[in-house]
Amino acid sequence: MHITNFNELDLTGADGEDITIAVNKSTNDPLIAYTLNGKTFAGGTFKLDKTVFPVFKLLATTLYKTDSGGSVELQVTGSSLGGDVSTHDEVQAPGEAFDVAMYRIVIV
Amino acid sequence: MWRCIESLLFKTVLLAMMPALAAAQDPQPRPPKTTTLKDQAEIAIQKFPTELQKCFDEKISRRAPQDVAVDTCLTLQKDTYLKVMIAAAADAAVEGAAATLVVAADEARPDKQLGAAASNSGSTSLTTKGSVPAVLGFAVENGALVRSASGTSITFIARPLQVVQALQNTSWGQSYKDIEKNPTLGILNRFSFGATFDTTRGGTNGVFTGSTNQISAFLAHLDLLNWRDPRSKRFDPQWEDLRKGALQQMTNKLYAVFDKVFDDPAFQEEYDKWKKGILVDVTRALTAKDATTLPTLTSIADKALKAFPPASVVPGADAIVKAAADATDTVLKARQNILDYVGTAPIISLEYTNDFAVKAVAPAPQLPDMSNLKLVVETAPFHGGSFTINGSVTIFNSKPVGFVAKRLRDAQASAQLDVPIKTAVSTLGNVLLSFSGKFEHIASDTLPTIVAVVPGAINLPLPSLADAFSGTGAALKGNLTLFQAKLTIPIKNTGVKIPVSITWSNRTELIKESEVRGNIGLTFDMDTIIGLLKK
Repeated sequence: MHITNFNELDLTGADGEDITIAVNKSTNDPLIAYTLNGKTFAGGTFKLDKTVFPVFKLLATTLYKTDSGGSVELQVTGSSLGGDVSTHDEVQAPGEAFDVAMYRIVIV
Repeated sequence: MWRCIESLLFKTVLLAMMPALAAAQDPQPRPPKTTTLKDQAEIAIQKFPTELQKCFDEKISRRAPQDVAVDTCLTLQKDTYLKVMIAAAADAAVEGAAATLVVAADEARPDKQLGAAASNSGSTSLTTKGSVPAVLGFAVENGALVRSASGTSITFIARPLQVVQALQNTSWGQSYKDIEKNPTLGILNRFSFGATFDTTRGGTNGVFTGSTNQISAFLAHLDLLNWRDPRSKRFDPQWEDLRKGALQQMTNKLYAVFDKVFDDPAFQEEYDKWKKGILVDVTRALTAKDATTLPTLTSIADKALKAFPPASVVPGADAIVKAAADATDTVLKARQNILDYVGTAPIISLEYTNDFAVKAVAPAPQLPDMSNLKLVVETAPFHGGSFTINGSVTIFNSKPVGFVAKRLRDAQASAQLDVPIKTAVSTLGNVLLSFSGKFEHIASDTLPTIVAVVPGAINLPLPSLADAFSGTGAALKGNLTLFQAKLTIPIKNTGVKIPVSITWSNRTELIKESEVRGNIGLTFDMDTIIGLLKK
């Protein structure tokens, strides 16, 4: 898996590659929910399959429990050797209830 | 010598906290703490320029070409545009309903005691609240409640464990988790300590010096029961239900906006035009790297986001965006419901206060210091408000010599109802209106023997009697009844609150004559800013 154009949300991966999304670290224990290709996804690992979708889309929503001070660092990695590690930070602004990030993984 | 060392240590701790205080002064206006879609969009718009700058700097540091860095940072894959779009789609009915919700921010919590207890000169509180700040709070108050002479008191309250954590490289949230996981830290965190300084002491004519001879009281506070923290594992089932239900539904609906609207070629075309229109100005602002960068970016972002392409360029998009807005609104309300539930959990605490008697001037006899033990029970009968009751007894630490007095000085009971009031003033948080009543039974006269045994001596002119003995702990037997109305005005997002109160009493401890007093104060709760400082 590789990062495209220095955008950690814009990724490419090989057909059949396993992609893993995980919360690397967080503060104030936020809630995370995912939708993968339009369906509920519990988080963890999924396999890129060109016959299903040429572009996999993964949405991550972070809901903060507190009024301020929340943050989350999401990390996406691929199973192919020598790939990139995508790290995306969400930092809660005061009063902010949620953050959203859309990953796009093009199968090459 | 020891007093000098104590004073020096105390000042050192204060000075150590000052950089944290100074660093926490965010020059940017803070967004309101609200739960409506519209407000969430406003917060996103305010956050956008700093996010853009942070993103750009990070890409450049990774040697991204400038144009690629700007283009990447304006990506649709982040949520600013989404929040603006769904907020615009939220219909008036949804906004109206959401706007009636009362914010449950930490700053709006009515349960924290920042000032001194009623027995101190200058206190603005008849009833002590059940909770104290997680890290550090301080209060400056002027007036008097049960004593005859007014004064100014300055109170510092801190949880030593969290002060240490705040000074260490431990994140705010992580420190809480550490405490929750470690039983020993959990027990230590139940304790907080405070000191009240009386500026009329120490011979400085009302000037606060921080020296130990101005300390009028020490207090130790123990949380017996306090469940009012949304991060507590006690509330995990509620949060997990929200995550699996409404939050997942919201995520699925938001996905549809990205997938069916943002990725639609018709929308992409409009987005590309929009981006092209702002690219030069954004790049210029991002690369200026001077004082004009943030204001310029803010101005550009404000205009640009207002001109962001509408969802309607994609056929059928309005319904998709509306569904996302409704799902998001449901989550915001559900989140608020949990925070409301958290805010109604009971608080029970025990507080010990050692009141240092004013030093008598020879040949007047010296009263001993006093100890007060207080039980505080607080509940929330309705959202945002609270009902608190106190029961306490005060004894002299030793048998008074040269006084006609008993060891038991008084027994007290009080109750307070706090009612939040919404204001239309944007810079104010939730104003709190409090009604409080207190009953104090003074078991016996506590007067110097010379005064007590000379017939008619206590018929001294009232001001003379008050001047001579107020603040010493001297009192006349009988019952005191006090009623108070108090307005606590918080300055939004600063941790600063201004309590203003008016109190009627049937008598004071020394003068058997009813009176009405006004008190004003200034309190500061560092919890509000530590969260931002220690991410």
